[in-house]
Amino acid sequence: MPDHDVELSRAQWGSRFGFLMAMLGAMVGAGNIWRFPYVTGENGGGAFLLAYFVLLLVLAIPGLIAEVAFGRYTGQGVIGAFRKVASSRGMVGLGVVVLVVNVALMSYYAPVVGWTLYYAVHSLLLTFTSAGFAPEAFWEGFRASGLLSIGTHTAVMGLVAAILYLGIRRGVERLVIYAVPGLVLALVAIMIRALTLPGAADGLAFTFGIEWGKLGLGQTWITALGQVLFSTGLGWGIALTVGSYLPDYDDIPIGGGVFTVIGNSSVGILAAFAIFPIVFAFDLDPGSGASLTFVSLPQVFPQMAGGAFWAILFFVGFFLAAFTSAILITEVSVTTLSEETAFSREQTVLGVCGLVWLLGLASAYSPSTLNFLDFVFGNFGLPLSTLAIIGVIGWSMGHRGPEKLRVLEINRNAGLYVGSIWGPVVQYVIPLVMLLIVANYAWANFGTPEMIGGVAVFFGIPALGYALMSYVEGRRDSLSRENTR
Amino acid sequence: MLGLSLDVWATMLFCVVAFFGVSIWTLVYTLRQEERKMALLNTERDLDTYSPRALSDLKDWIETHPNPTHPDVEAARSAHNDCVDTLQSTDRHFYEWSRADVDRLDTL
Repeated sequence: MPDHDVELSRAQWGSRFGFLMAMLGAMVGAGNIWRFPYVTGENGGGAFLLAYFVLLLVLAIPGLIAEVAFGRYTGQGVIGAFRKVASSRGMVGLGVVVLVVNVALMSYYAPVVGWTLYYAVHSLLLTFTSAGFAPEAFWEGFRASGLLSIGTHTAVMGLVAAILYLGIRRGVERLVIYAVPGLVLALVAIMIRALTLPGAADGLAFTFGIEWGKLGLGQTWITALGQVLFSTGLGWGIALTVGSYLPDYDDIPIGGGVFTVIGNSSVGILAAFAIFPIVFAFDLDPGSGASLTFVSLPQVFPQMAGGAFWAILFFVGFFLAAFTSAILITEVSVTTLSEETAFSREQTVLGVCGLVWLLGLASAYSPSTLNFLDFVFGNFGLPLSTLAIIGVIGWSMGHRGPEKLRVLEINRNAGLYVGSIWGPVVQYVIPLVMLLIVANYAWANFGTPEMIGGVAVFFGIPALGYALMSYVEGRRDSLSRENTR
Repeated sequence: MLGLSLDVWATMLFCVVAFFGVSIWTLVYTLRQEERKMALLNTERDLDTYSPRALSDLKDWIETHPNPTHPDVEAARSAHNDCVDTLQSTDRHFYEWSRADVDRLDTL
């Protein structure tokens, strides 16, 4: 086959910068802005950051290097990647687990992205600085209106479909190379303004003051573990998918590991520098989560000089953070299903986005459904997906499996040498830590409907995936045998 | 702002160095590496794919594999030999290979 045909058979990132921004855009989401600064301040500030930093180095960087390398090694979406290394038909079903978790995650994340879109549009319409604007009534009115929630959810899925329809280079890459730097610049500009407000120092003292005693508490480390594993998107299939489009001559350890993990955390810290000085300067409640973003901050912008400008920067930046993640989360399913079915990429984009839109209607309409799914899939589904991917890399790749990935893929064209200590981290440490986190969530919520739902997801989806792929792969084998006769 | 305690300043400095500093440094470093790779490809027409340590690890993995005819071993051997051939046929390398190191290399 001529070279150009090989290239056309599967897309690749057009530039190194495009790959780096895709990784960062995927991992930086709403949580970096509204959750990370608060979690840091509540859990010992500087002491928490130290624990967090250590865990990033020990777990997140090795884990993401493994996932990106696995993607490039197989050159496939999640199910194809699992098929390439799995020892049995049913094990391919673990790919289905990752797929189902991604679709479920996107079904309740899309309405949240819809909130950010609604606020970004209203910031551009200068609503937040108009006379008589009442933030709480505005937020409550929006959440109470099923039509508005469903409308913004629909708009988000339409935009996601439009970007994905254009493909990896013309759609995803073209968006992230502008959106991610745009988000960072917006946060830097807000940070400069925030740090010059009277009272800003209290916000910095809350986030960055050190309570050394908290470093000795198990809860601090559990929280840091959760933050490390959830904020970096480790094992969700995103890094695998992004890695599957990475050219052979590109480096993995620096781009897929160090830059993505530290860069993602840097955006969270930038948000702490940008938002918490404002929160304390205007005496807001730092722990109010979503309502901090959608009720408290809009209250503040009219009181700031040039408030409309700061509101636009904040809400457009916030939308970009959430939207780029939505694009890459959906890409996991699009890449996988376009490979696994006879549909073209364009048809798959429409099918996947249509399915996510349909499933997301419940979360868009009902906040309690959204909260339930967020708890169940956030605390049980995502760790399950991580266990599936890291488990396959650690235990299903044949003779000295992780070592094979390290010598063949990770250290090839690498900008940073990865030593053999990486193998045991992937094989033992990350899976054990994930199990510990899930057990901790189950114990802390024992007997609640959320815990029961979570346990059902944790055991039910793998069983479903195993049964489904045992059947599908068996049928595939028999069809292929018939064709060769 | 000047009234902030020393520990707050220390944490902020740590964040600036460990997070912002490392992010920016790795971004610039990896983009420059990419430029170097492209420049080498233009002048040498080929690129060494493994550093000395990485190539030694690869060789060790091939030699200790229990099944020398396994497709993975074939792929690994091919990757090893391609790198050796490139190192021996080019003058400038991406990784820090000395002439003596290159002369000692053999294909498998």
